[in-house]
Parts: sequence; structure tokens; C-alpha cells
Amino acid sequence: MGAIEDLVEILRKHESGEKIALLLLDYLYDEKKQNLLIATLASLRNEIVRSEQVELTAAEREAYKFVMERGVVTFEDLTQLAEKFASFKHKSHTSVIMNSLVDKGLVGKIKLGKENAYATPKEAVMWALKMLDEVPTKCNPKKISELTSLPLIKVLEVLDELV
Amino acid sequence: MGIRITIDGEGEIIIKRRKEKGRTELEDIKPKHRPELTEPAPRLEPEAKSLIFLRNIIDQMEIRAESVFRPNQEDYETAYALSGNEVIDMLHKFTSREVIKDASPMHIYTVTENKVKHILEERGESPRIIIDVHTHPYGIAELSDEDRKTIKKVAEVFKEKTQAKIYFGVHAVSDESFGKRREPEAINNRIRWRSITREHEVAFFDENGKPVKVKIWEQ
Repeated sequence: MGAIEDLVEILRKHESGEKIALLLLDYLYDEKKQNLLIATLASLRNEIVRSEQVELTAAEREAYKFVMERGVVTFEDLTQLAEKFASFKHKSHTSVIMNSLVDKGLVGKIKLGKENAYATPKEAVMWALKMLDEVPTKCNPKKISELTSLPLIKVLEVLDELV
Repeated sequence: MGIRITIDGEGEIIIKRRKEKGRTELEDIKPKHRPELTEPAPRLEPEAKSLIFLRNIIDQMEIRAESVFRPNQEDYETAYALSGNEVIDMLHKFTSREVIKDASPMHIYTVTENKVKHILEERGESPRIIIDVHTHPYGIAELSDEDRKTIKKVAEVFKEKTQAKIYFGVHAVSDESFGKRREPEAINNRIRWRSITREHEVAFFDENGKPVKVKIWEQ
């Protein structure tokens, strides 16, 4: 069986198969939307590949361990790591290290009051659900991903834990 | 992944735990949600004295209670329900005007008939246990005099329309102060924990206002 037949078979068996097919057709009928769909799918594929091949620098490893221990950390908290890694003395350098951890899907971004903070994926997803007034069983994973900067695949992993 | 994402009639995204065919409710729960029991899994008989909560339901209770709080605004009361057969495994969020008529920092007015309708729609059938919960922002986890006057009447409405045993929960939430999370612990009729922003304490009572013991089924 070819890939197209496989897709038809999967859609037939899926609870929301008809609705997914309508969504796909909506994008595929229109050339502009078709490009958007293909670009999004390609980017999603890259995101999944990246999430499977994570390598950390020594500073990133230390910062990641720190977030896992505390749940949530602010820039002020992260200055405690400056004894081991001088980069953490400077907010701009800290920001580069932390944003790299965010890109790798290991920590999420949240706001504590007006302050930016970094959190474990679970804390970040729970924070986003509170902000969006949603519950894990009825929510928009894409919006959570945008709010926390966590990759969609990581958001789905956390929702799996919460549902 | 143990979840299945579907789209409902309104285009809303619904996330459900996958069910395996031919298995009972307790067996449906993914292994990570099940305790390492040396004895048979707990079974809540009609006379049983404890309510048993899946651990992830407590996360959902926290999300629900804190969702209504907004920066620079007073913290309002809210209401939600919990349900299950042998264990409490589902949280029902009430937001529509049909269920919550009015809410303030000190009170909340809800329509019980519409709560029942919502619960039955979400579960697809009558559960054996329903817990009607409301929050007390900045307050204590105790039934107020007003609560004690109304719970019997509310329980009657639930019992008319379902086969469930009815319990009540009072979910006290502190004001905001950032700190380290503390995992939930069950003590007598209470579950206590701390989120990164607030202290939580939920107390459970039967329809006569008597405390009901609770247990957490750790993942």
C-alpha cells in the first residue's frame, strides 16, 4: 500500500478523521494555504528531530539542573551559578544560555508578576493553562507552546502527564 | 503517548486519555498513574470512608482554582466538580453563565441542575461519586454557615438526576507569594500542597457536613 492509501486508512479509523480530512482539504485546495501547510509540517518534522538529539554545554547542563531542582528560577536566582560559570554574572549571557535550553525544549518561559522566569516544562505548561483559563482536557496546545516558547511536542508530553 | 487529541463539533480541541478495549476503569489508567500495590487495587465500596484521588487530578484542581485570578484584580470565588467511579478521575470546569450566575471574592451562586447536565455530558453516564467544589480565596478550607445551610438541598438535586453519592469540597487558596512547590499530602479530610505562587488546602465533607477521609493515588 502506498503512503496516500495509508493516510486514507488512518483517517478512516481516527475518531476525528472526517474533521482532519476537511482541515487538510481546506489547506490543500488553496495554493497559498498549501505552502503554509507544507512549511508548517516541515518545521514540525525538524522540531521533532531536534528534540531527539539534545546536546548541552557545561553551563547549560548546570542551569538545567538548577531549574529542575527549583521548578522555577529568575535571573536573580541564576546569578548563584556565577561562582562556577562567570557567564551567569551578566543577564545578557544568562539569557543566551537559558534561551538555548528553551529552544531545546528543556525549560519553558513564564512570567512571575512582571518578572521573566524559566521553569520546568510541567510548571510552564501549568502556568500557561492558568493564564489561558483552560484545563488540560480542553486546551489549545499551540497557544501553550507560543506562551511558554516550549516546542509543541514537549507541550503534548506534559499534557499526557496532566490528563 | 497516552493521550488522544480530537476535535469536537465547535472545532474545540479535546484531549482524552486513551482507553484500551475490554478493560475496567482502574485498568484503563496508564501504569505510571497506578501505585505499586502489593495488595489488590483499592475499590471504593458504598460504605467506604475514603475518597481516592488520582494524583494528576490535584494538578487540575490547582490549575482550575488559580485560573480565575488576574493581576491587579480581586481574587474571585469559583466552582468546579470532580467525579469518578472507584477513584476520582475527572475534573469538570464550569464557566458558562448557565452554571455560574454570579461570583465575588466572598460568594458564588451556581445552578445545580446545569452542573449535573454538564457532568453527565462530559462523562457520558452517571458516575458513582460526584464532589461539588467551590473555592475560598484567602479563606479557610471549612464549610461556611451559608454552605452548611445549602449543601443538603444541593445534594438532593444531584441525587434526583444521578445515581451518584454526593460530597462537597472547599478549596482554600492563599494570596500570591512566590515559592518552591510542595507536593500534595492527604491528612484526614484534607489535601494540602503549594504551587509556585499559592498555598492550597481542600477539605471534603459529606452531604451532612461531616468530614470525609481522603487518599491520593500516587503516580
